[in-house]
Amino acid sequence: MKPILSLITFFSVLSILSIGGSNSVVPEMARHAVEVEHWLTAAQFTDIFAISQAAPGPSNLIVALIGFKVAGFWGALVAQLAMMLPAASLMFLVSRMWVASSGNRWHLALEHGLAPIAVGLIFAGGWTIAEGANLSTIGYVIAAACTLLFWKSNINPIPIIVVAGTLGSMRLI
Amino acid sequence: MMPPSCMTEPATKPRLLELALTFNKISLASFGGGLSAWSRRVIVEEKKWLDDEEFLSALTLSRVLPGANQMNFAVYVGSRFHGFEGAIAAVLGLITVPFLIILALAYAYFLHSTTPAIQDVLRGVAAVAVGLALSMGLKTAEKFLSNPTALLFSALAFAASVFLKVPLIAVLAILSPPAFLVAWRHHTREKDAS
Repeated sequence: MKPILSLITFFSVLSILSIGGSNSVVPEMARHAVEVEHWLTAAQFTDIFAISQAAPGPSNLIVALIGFKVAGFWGALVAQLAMMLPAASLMFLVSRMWVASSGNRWHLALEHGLAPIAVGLIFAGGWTIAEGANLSTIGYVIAAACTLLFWKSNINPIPIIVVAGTLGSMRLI
Repeated sequence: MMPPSCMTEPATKPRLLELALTFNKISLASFGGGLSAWSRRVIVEEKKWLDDEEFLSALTLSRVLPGANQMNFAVYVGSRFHGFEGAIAAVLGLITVPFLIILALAYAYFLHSTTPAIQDVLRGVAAVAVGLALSMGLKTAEKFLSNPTALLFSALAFAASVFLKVPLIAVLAILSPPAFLVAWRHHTREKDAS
C-alpha cells in the first residue's frame, strides 16, 4: 500500500502546483521520482518524457507511466487520477464563475482585453515548438506550408500528422 | 439591454455522449502540443459550440490555472453545457483512449524495453504542430487587423514570451490590467455614443 499512498500524496500536490500546464512541474517530478523516491532512473525518466510527448492526449500522461513503473496498472490509474482531480476541481469552480458572470461589463472587458494577448501567446507557442523540435530546413518548409494550408483551407490535419510522423521516423524531416 | 457580444448560445446544446466523443477526437489528434489549434477547429469551426472570443478566454483560463491545458479546456466546455456531468463526460472522453495507449506503451517500455524511434517521429509531428499553431494564430488575428491597440498587445505578448522568455503567468499579470482598462474605456465610449 505504501507506494500507492506516496503516489497519491505526491501527484495530488503536484496537480495544484502545475500552473501553466503540467510540463511546468516536470523538473520537480524528475527530482522527486528519480532522486528522492528512486522510482526510476534518470535515463528512464528521459525516455518516458519523450514517450508521453509523442503519444496522443494531454501532456500529464507521463504521470501514468511513472505510476505504472511503481505499481503496475493500479499505480498508473491512481497516479493519473491524483494528478487530474485537484486541478480539474479548481478549473470546474472557476469555469462556473466565469460562465455565470457572462454579460457583466467587467467580464466583457476582460474577454476583449485578453483576446489579443491570447493570440500573441498562440504565435509564441508555435514558435516555441519549432525551437524545441530542432527542425531541419525541410522541417521548416513543411511547417510553413502547413501554416498556409491550415490557415486557408479546412483540410483535416490528422492524415498530415501521420504522414509527417512517418517521414520523421525515416529521418527525412 | 443585453450587451452586444454576450456569450452566444449555440444552435444545439451538445449531448453528453457527443461531448465525450468530440473530446476523444480532439485528444487523439493532439500530439506534442498541437492542442489549441485543433480544438479551435473542432469546437469553434465545426461544432460552433463557442465563438472565438469565448474560446480564447476559455483557453486563457485553461492555461493560467493549474493542470494540463487540454484537461482544463475539457472541464470548461463540459461544465459550460452540462455542469458537473458534462465536465466528467468531456474529461473521460479526453483521457480514456490516450490512457489505454500510454498503458500499452508503458508495458512495451518497462517490461520489454522497446523504445520506438520516438524523437524522430516527434520531429516530424512537430513540423505540422507548428503549422497548426501558427495558422490558428493567423485565423484569430484576422479580426484584429484594423485595431492597432489589439495588434500591439499581441506583439507585446509574443515578444515577452519568445524573446524575453517571460513566464506565461507574468506575461498575463503585466499585460492584462492595461488591456482590461483599454477594453473597459472602449465599452464606456460605445455606451456614451449610443
